[in-house]
Amino acid sequence: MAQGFTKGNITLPLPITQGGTGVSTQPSFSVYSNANQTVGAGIGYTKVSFQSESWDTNSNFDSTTNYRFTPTIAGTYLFSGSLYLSTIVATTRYSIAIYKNGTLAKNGCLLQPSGTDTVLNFACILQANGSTDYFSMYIYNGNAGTGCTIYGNDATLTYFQGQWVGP
Amino acid sequence: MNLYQKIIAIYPDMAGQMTSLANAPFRLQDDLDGQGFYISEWNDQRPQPTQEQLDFIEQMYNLNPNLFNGGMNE
Repeated sequence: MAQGFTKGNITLPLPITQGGTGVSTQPSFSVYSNANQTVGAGIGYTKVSFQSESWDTNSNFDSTTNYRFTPTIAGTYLFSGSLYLSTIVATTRYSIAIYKNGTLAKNGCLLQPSGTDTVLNFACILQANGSTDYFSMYIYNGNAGTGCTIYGNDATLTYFQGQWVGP
Repeated sequence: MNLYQKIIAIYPDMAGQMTSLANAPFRLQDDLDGQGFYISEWNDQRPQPTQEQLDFIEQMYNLNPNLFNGGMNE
């Protein structure tokens, strides 16, 4: 089969019309939760578990144990995600955060909803070394005494995505 | 009694500072590894509570929860 165009660690696909697959080999994933997750009370960050994969082109997302993305190609990655929260407490602050190597890297919008449920959305760009760097999604619950529930088993509401976008 | 509440029982004034994500005196984190919340960052000049102190607070709470009403759910 004809190969794509390669420079350094970047390989662009050869178009189908030229005998290639037309498919990029750069890491990309989209995962979602297959069940509700209870978030404990106590003003802190809790990792979000994603057990189901819509796609994971390079098998770089661990959807079994650590729920994290460890890209095997260095570069810049765009991350996005959404969490549908229920049983929330009005005026409490909630946020999505991305952790890099276990440390807070980017925080998302901070909502103080007035109802009993809400949807958090998030996007950010981070760089990965292509070997040891890994990324996870966390949720910030700003209520000391009451937790909340992340609604699962719906890939349209609760998901985490990432895509290589450049060197 | 969760970890946040134990810390606030030791340093009650921190409850007000925790209402903002910016410049929070400490940060708690749960990695879903079965250990629950732990202190992942401590940014206050005062010493980080030891496990012994946290355990003591929980023992006191179990003996008399009424001692710990202030700031518990802020």
